Amino acid sequence: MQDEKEFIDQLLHPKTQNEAFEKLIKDFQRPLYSHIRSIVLNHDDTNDVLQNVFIKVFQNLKNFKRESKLFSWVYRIATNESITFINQKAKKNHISSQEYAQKEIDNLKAETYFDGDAIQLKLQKAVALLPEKQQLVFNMKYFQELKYEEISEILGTTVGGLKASYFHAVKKIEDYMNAG
Amino acid sequence: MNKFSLESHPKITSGFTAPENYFDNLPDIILEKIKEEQPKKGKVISLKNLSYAAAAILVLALSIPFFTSTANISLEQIDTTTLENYISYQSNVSQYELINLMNENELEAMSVNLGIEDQAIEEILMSNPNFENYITD
Repeated sequence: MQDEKEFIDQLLHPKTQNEAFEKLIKDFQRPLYSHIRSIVLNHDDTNDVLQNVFIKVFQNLKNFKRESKLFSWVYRIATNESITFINQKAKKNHISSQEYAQKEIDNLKAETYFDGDAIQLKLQKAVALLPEKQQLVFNMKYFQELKYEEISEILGTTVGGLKASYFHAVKKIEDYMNAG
Repeated sequence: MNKFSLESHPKITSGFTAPENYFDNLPDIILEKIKEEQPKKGKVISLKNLSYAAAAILVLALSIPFFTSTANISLEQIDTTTLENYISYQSNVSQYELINLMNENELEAMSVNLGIEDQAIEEILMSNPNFENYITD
């Protein structure tokens, strides 16, 4: 906790800012990549959104309220940016964001940066059929292995609510996987 | 066939990968982008001047139609439908004032023959208890 306070001070001070921000990128780039990728699905879009997220984080550092952890604040920005991104893409194509995600998953078979087999593809399809909130919770819990407490800080939902969402998500996914 | 269960199935990974060296290069790319955006702050004054110039041009551009066309518009150039719509929806001219502006022949030309016989009108009026109101109106 003390470390985090010190680190945020460095991020805000003009002299130490650049060095501290480089550390922030290095610490966050992999988990954020996975998080964004689980929502926008292809690598190129993930790259665009990820770069925008870091630039947004940098520009808004001075507005960062220390009430929440840096980790959850950055994750929250990434979540919002990713959802906005796919909603805009879906709107441009005149389809729902769920239909858009299904199309993107069909394209994954040909994508260079996806090495999943049939069951991985099927699982992605099942996840994309879930309501938005359940998708987020499932991705963060199952694939990214975040703790409920961490997800709760990012999404602003109670741990109890998240457990219920995850339970429903797992149930629907298993039904889908068993349906053949 | 066994039923699929996420808990009993070996962990399934997302399958998403990133290009080789992607994470080695990303920090520099982002820091470069941030640097590119920063110097813009130093140019505030010149941008301000530019915005004055832009505003002046905008005002000039917007006023061109006033200098050229408005002065020359005459009643003949406006088509009848536009004029009619304006009079009926936009102005306070009443029906009676309009009638006073026309002569007998123009009024005659406007009248529509509804094809109702006098007798029919009489019958309707007689069967309608409020016919006095219609007559006086």
